[in-house]
Amino acid sequence: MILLEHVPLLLIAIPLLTAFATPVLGKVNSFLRNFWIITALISTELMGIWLGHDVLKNGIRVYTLGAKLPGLTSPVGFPIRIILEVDAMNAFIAMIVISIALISFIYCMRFMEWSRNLDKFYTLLLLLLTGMMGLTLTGDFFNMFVFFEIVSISSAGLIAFYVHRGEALEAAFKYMVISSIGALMVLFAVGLLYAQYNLLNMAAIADSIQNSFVDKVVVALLLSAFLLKAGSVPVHMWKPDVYGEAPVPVVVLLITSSLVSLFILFRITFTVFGLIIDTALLGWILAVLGILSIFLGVTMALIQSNLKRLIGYSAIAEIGYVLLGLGSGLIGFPSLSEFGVKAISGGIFHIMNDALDLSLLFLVVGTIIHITGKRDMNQLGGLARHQPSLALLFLIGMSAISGLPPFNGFASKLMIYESVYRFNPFLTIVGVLGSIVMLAIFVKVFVVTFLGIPRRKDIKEVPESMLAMMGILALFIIVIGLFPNLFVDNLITPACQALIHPEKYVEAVL
Amino acid sequence: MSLMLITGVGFWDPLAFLAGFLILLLISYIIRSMGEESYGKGIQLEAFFSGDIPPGKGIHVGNLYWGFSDALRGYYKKVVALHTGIVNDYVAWFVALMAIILILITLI
Amino acid sequence: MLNNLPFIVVVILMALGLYALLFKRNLIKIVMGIHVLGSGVDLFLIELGYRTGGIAPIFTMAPRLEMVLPTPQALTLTSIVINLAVVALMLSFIILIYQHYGSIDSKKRRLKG
Repeated sequence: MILLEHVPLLLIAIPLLTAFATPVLGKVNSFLRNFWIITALISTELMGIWLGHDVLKNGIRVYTLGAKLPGLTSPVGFPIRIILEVDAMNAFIAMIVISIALISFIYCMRFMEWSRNLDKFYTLLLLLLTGMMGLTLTGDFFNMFVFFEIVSISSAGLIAFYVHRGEALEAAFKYMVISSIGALMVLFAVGLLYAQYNLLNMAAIADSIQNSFVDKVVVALLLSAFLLKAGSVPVHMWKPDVYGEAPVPVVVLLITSSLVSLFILFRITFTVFGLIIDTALLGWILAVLGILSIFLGVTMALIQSNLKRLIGYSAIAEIGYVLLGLGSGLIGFPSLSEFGVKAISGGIFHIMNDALDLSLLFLVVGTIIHITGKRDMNQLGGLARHQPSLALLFLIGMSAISGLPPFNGFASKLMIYESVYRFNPFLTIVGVLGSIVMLAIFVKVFVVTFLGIPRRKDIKEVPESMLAMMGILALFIIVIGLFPNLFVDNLITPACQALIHPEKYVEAVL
Repeated sequence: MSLMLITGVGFWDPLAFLAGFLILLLISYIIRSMGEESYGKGIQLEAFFSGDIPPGKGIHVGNLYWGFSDALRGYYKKVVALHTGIVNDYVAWFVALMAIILILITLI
Repeated sequence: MLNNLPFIVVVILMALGLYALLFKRNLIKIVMGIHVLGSGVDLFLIELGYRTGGIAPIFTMAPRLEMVLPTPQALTLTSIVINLAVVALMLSFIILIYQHYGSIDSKKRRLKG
């Protein structure tokens, strides 16, 4: 199939071209623009699923720009070239990204319809999607830096979208400072790698890496930059600011972008440096940071009253669970025990569940803000009387995020707990305690906002399309919760195998 | 094909859990339907404060878990003070993290 | 010593940038810090590409066909453009922040805790 060969590039190109077509079409007609965006996104989604299916069946797919094969036409050594490499892990993350983006776009159509700057808003949102797809699919370090910056710049523009609020500008400025320093550190690390090996391709670098002193510096720079972007403790502080001020559909995409940077972090630690560097030390660093994130995230969320800030802090805790699972898996890498594999698959499973649960909670909170105009939960109350469906959706989201059975959060957290317990019981205990406090926080939020006596009378109706999008997310949460092993066997295990076998990733390119 | 998820040490079967949960729900519904029907009209809205005059304002449901946060007052005072919101401090934390990771990786 | 001079300049530039980011409270100086840091990284990339007696990869008028691979220069160009976009965006944020807060001191902030 000719088309299938080009799907990895099209996954990046379609959102990019749609982004720049959006202002032009918006001049003609807003319906035409929305129709165009939705069509493009649905076709991207279908292509992503197609690519994922193909990668699961036929193995790693490499797309080389400007040549037939990645290694052709070079005087000496491996050439510098733009390469997209898709294995099961990349395809899995790409599917999550597009699905969440599609849901958030359809939610946007009604949520943002009051705005006069929708053309620019959609352009930036599509550019953010382009950046995330590029980060997910790219096979070389320099493009990683470029897409990293695309994500930073477009999301900073989106965070400051409520430009009449000074706080939104402040959050956007902080985000931009933080993420541009992170990106410069990535660029510096890429320069150091290039200086040593004359290579920019991830697989080629993984093949010829030496574990010299400079390589260790590179690992430290890349690790801290991507931890920063993922928002782990102690560089989490931009997260509540940004999540509290950005429009809700943007927050949903930002959550996805932080999960994508987590994925890049693990791609770097497992695939590129995994066979050379002291993985036990790296694994302990990540697991300890995960524990700290869980603890600090839940305790800080407890004292918040702004709904979006509160969920922002619990998002930090959720990042902590992924770090805990994959970090303790990394401790034993590359000679993994069965528990190590389980810990890694639990962490990967939790990436998907995080994206779904946090998106659902943020969309529900966004709807609450949309219909009442209040973001402080102490000014809310008795919403369940007006909006029983919203209350039910929030209940599903909060049960899933705090790991109550039979929702999806429970399945992945159980996998993480039971395998991490074998490495160190203390890590599991903190994780379980974090889950309990998380449940307590969300019970409080539920009681304050949905139960009790209604405080306000002027509550608008919820548009059906927004409700439908939240319903789809809730449906996914329930289905994954009820049939976790279908997803684990068909999606998570191949992704985990792709992550823990770097030699296959290298072989596909060289 | 079984529908059980193998999780390291044990296993997890959501459908069995759901069946048990529904049975328990049914039992609790039966117990509830055996209760007094006339109870609860007009009584439940007012909180019982041991005969004292109920405090009208000041305490509301948002103050739930004040005991928890009060017990951890020292911790919260320190941690909230760390979240200064100043962008220079954010950069400082990033540089500190980078330095710690660098020292750990290069020296150990 | 003299061969390493560009690398010393890189280190000095990056240290200056980080100093501005850590200790300067004026938002415009923070942006300047980011730009200086970025220039340091750019200079590092340029310095990587330098070969003594190398020939620029322009095919017309080239004395020999062995030329320097222009990858670091291409990377630097991309990075300069990105840096420009970042700085422009941040300066426009600062203009709007000044309109709202009446101050460009990083300690005058509303989001905390």
